Amino acid sequence: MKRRPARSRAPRAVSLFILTALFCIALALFPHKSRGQSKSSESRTVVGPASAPMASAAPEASAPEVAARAKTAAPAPSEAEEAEEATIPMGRGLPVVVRIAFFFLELKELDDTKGEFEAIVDMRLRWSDLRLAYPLQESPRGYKEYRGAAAEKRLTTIWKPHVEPTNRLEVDDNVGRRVRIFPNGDVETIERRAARYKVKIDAQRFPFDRQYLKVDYIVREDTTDAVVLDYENDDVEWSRIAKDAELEGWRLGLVDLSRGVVPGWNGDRYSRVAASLFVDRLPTTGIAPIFIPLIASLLIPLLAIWMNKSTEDGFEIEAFELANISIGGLFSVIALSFAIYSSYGMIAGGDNTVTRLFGLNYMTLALSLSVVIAFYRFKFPRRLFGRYVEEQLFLFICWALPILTLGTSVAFLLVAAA
Amino acid sequence: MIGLITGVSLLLTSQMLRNAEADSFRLMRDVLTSTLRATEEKALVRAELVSAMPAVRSAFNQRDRDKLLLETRDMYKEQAEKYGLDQAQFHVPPGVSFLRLHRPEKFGDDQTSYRPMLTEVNRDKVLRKGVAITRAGPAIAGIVPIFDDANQHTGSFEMGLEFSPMLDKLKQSYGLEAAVFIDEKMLRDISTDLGGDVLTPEKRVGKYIRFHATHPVLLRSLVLDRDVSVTDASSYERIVSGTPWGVQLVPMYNYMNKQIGVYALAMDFSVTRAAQGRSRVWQGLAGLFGVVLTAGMILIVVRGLLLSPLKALNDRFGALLEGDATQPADPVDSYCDELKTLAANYERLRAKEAK
Repeated sequence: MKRRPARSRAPRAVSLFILTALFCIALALFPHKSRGQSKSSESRTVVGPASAPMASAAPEASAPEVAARAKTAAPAPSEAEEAEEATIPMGRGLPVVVRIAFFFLELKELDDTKGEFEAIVDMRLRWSDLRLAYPLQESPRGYKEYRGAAAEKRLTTIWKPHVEPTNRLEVDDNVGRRVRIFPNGDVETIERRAARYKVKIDAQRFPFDRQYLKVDYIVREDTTDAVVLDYENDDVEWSRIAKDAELEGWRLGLVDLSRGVVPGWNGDRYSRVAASLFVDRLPTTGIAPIFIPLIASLLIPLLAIWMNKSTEDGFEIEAFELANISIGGLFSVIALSFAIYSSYGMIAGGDNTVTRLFGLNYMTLALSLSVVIAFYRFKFPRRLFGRYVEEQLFLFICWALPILTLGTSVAFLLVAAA
Repeated sequence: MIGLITGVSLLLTSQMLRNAEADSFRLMRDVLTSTLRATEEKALVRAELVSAMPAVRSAFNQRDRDKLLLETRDMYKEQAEKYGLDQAQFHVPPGVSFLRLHRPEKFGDDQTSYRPMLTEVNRDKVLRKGVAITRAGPAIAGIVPIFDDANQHTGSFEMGLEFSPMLDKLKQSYGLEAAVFIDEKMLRDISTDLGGDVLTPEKRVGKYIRFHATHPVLLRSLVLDRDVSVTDASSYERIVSGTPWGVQLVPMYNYMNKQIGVYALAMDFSVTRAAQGRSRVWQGLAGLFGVVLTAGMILIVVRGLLLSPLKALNDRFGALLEGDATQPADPVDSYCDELKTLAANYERLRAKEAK
């Protein structure tokens, strides 16, 4: 076979160009680790109650009114009364029903690689303690209110449920707290905390995935015989996300409450309630850094096929020239996978669109190498079926392989979007 | 043909999904019916238990309101706080309020004009249950007649349960979001004891008021003004925040079969919809593979084994006619059986021309 030197140099140049381009794209991916963070750099610091005034953002209608008012100086109970009031209230029988509600004031960051999110969340607890009942005349506003240090102090003197989050990682020491005690003995506390929470990331439908940012609280020490966490219609209405809250790269959804129990020792059960806010990833955030390189790398093995031409004597370009493209493509895909998996750890394991597309890339590379070896090097089709069948088979591969490869990759994306 | 098969397959999948969703709507209706019935039974059982207590019967038959309140007050508080008891009331015939445990200071009003179930209990002296709108709001009520020791009818006792525990149970047990819508005019006319937070513009949906919802924000988007005016059970689908929901509306009737509101139940259809979408994509991809591979096989066989060799032989025959006998045919084995004879004849002609 007579080689044409001018043409044989073309595949080398093309493969070199593709390799360079893919490495550049891969390197460009590293800065994307910081996606999902809040837009403003100022709000990245963990903000306590001082920077997020409770009264200005709490969903309760009366909150602003409360903020404007001065702290109530309620008469302090005696020590004996305090000791009595700090035990579990049994005035309405057991278990004590503690109603819980959550308000997502601000979402600061969702790090899907680490599986963490940072948020400022208000937690409202309501229960009844008849020992704290007092004549209506004592409080013209209809309740006694304690805020900040006064609330902390008052809470040490009365019974309060020991509820703790199960998925909280870090918490800001600053805490905003408000306590209201109503004439009939109803107690309401609101606690505002900025904290980081663990979140389970399910990337199967990446980049069309939905994540549930959950704040999960459980009653410690007291079993369901003594204390039960619950919520009613009013708590469901209170539990929501602030209207002006946003999270870059994600569309915010609705808050939902769910209740359950956690088994303990010897048949003990502990009550729990979780508030989960669902967020949908904006798919466009993954297109440029992930899917364009992935689809582009699918073209490399196809080039190894397209660059050759069937002639009467065989193929114009020798096998090793085009095998170089496939091998170069293999290294490009390996580099790309390394870059993507480093930046997006949550998609490295498991079955998702990205891992499927990488699988398709490797399979297409294997097919192109097979074509190079079977057609260009050993000429199996020509030996077995003659040159006309070889020619038609080659022409078929030239158009069918791209159609099937691109069709499959589009199918992977559509399946994720479904 | 492959396209046709794929199309039929897609149609069948869609049909299966429609059937599955229709089953889901039916399940929602069945669950609502059975839960409602169970709640009515619960109200009735409690009413019977209380009215059968000797001390309660004695106080009522003696028309001793204070004693009756003393006997039943704690029971009512406990039941209200823990078990969703919304209202409890003793009546004297034909339907005059004797004691409201939920509002003891108010009594003596005749309810026969707007409480047909109560009127019937006191007229026929049989127990009744159903949804009723009372002064305190809508409730799932059970009313039992009360008799004295001489078995003379002396009045009735009613227990009304809230909707919220029932709907919460639907959510907890079946994952259904639920809401109850009550006719606003009836609420304004009858339920005069309702708090001002119930009859607010935000809760107005068409001619109804959203009285209770397991997820108010979601239900606000799922059931709109144009949806809620139904007189028969109806269902539809709606996407809220990217999630497809199947919504089942069921008219709510009072004891006299007059529509007083609407129940709304919603089920998350995202799982079935996603499965349908995935199924469609995979079927489409399988169809594409089928079409491409079949086309490839046809092209390779027809063009590779027949047309291309035939064209090559034809070119050689042409050259031979021009006097060029230098182009030999391909090896005979490379032709299919049908062309082998033609190739052999070409070689014979070429040999003759060469001589």
